[in-house]
Amino acid sequence: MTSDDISLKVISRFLEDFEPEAQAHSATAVQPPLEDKIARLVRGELPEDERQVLCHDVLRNREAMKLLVEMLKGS
Amino acid sequence: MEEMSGQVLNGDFELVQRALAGDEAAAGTIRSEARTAQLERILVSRGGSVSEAKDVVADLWADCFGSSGGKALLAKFNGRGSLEAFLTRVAVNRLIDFKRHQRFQAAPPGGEDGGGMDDLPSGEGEQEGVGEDGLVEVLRGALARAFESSDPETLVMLQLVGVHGINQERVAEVWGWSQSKVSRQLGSLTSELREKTLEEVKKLDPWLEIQWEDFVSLCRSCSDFLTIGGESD
Repeated sequence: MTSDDISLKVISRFLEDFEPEAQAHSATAVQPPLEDKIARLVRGELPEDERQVLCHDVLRNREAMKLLVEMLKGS
Repeated sequence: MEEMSGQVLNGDFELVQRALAGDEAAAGTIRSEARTAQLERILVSRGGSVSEAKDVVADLWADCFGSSGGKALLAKFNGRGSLEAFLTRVAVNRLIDFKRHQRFQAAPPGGEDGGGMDDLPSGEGEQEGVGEDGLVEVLRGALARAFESSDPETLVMLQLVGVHGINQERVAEVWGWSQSKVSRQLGSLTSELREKTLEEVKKLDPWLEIQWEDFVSLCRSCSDFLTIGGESD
């Protein structure tokens, strides 16, 4: 693991620990349309414009990031 | 290190417990001249004046052992990080609180440091919880602004690789890129985030001198001592 990876882990943990309540990332269940887009991304089938929008959504929904990671690890 | 009831115990933790139980030798080890000088040096290197650093550290020692009337600050040391990191985190936090307080005060009285330390907030943040923590506010604010202005796609890649351990080859496959392109993008975003974050710190608190390694280390200690406001309550 590089020092950049370690820094990133530390920072991610910090941001999770101290996320302001008002800006807290949603952790709601991933709806089917979003799940479908994540699955298409994992299969390498998502066009660039949709990928940009999806990444924006994934950064704002912890559950969506979790699902993306699970799909990538499972595939 | 030993894990017990969710709390990591180490040599520092035992030393603090002995000091809190009245062991003078342990207390002396904690507030040694060397440690005092080290904390003062850290505060000066972060942008405090010599007299501010001395005052912050003197107040810190008083609060550590509850000699200023409140609960002993050291009772909040949970042993999850080093005592040095704990004390540095509290000292830097207090310096930030003082500097901010000073900035919002109209025409502070004269003197070489632009004002006396009578108004030094004595750890209100630690007493009231992390919501009042100036250090967390600076770190979080700088990171949030740096992240906001970065490309979401590369940020997702960075989290996948750096936090969740997905290999770059797999990410490249999903994005339909070459692995070297993914690697270049990640390297470039990491450098960009460092620069932007430190720039944002300067915007938030221009006096604060901080390098990337210090920034990361302060983030780590904030997480390690997350319950600083409620550990002893």
